[in-house]
Amino acid sequence: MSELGPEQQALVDALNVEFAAVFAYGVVAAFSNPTRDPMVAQYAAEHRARRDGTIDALTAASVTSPEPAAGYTVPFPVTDAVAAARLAAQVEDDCAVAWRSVVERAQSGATRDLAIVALTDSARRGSAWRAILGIFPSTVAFPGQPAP
Amino acid sequence: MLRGVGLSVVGSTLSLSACGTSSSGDDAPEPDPLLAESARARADSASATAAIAQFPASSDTLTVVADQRRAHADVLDAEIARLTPPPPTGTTTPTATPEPAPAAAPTLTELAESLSASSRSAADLARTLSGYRAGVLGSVSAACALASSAVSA
Repeated sequence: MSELGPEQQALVDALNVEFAAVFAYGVVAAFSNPTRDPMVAQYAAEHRARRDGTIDALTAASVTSPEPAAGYTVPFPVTDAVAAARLAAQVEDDCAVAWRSVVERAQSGATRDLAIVALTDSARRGSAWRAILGIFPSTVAFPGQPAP
Repeated sequence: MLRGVGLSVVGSTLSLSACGTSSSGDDAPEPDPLLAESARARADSASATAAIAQFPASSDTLTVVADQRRAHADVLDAEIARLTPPPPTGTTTPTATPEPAPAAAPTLTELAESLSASSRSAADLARTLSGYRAGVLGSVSAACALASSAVSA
C-alpha cells in the first residue's frame, strides 16, 4: 500500500464521509415524513453520484478506493421524522467539513473546483433540512468550517 | 496543524515572489488578492442592509445576508493582516476598509446577481490558492451561492 499524497488522502477521507452519508440517508428515508420522499430520494441520489465521482477521481489518480464499512452507527437514535431531519442535517454538515478539507488539502485547481461544488451542495442540502427543522437562520457564514 | 502548514507554504510563496519582483531594492509586494474579496463582501453587506427598507418582507433574509457578508469581510481582513508585514508597532488594523455606502438600494434581483458573482469570484480565487486561504474562500463561495438563492426566492 503506497503512501497517499495530501490531496488523495483528503479525497479518501471525503469518500468515507460520503459512504456514511449514503448509509444515513437510508435511515432518513425510513423515518422521514412521507411527504418528503422525493426530496430524500433526490438528496440520496446526489450523495451516491458524489460518491461515484470521488471513486472515479481516485481511480484516475491510480488510487484504490476504500470499500464502504459493513455498517455505520448514527450519532443518536432515529425513531421519528424530526430525528431523521436532524440526522440529515448532521450528515450534510459532516460532508461540508470533509469537502472544505479537500479544498484546503487539494494540490490542483481542478480538485479545488470539484470540492467547492461538493461543499456548496452539502451546504444547500443542510440549509434545506435546517429550514424544515425551523432553525433560523438555516445557513451559516462559513459552511464546512470546523468548529474552533 | 493543517492550517499552519498551508499558511507557511503560502507565506513563503508570497515572500519569494516579493523578492523576485523587487529588483530595484524597495520592498513593494503585490497587493493581497484577498483584498478584492473583502471589498466585495463589504459591498454586498452594505447592499443587503440598504435593501432592507425597500423590501421589509425580506428583512430577515437580508439581515442574515448582511451579517454573513460582514463576517466574511472581517475574516478575510484578519487573514490579510496576518500575512501583511506589520507597519511600525502600535497600529492595529490598517487594512480594514470602511463600510461603503451604496447610492441606492439594489433590487433583490441585483443583489442576488451580485452575490452569485461573489460566489464565482471567491471560487475562482480559491482555485489558485491553497491551505486555509483556499478553504475560507471555498466556504465564502458556498455561503454566497446560498445567499443568492435565498434573496431571489
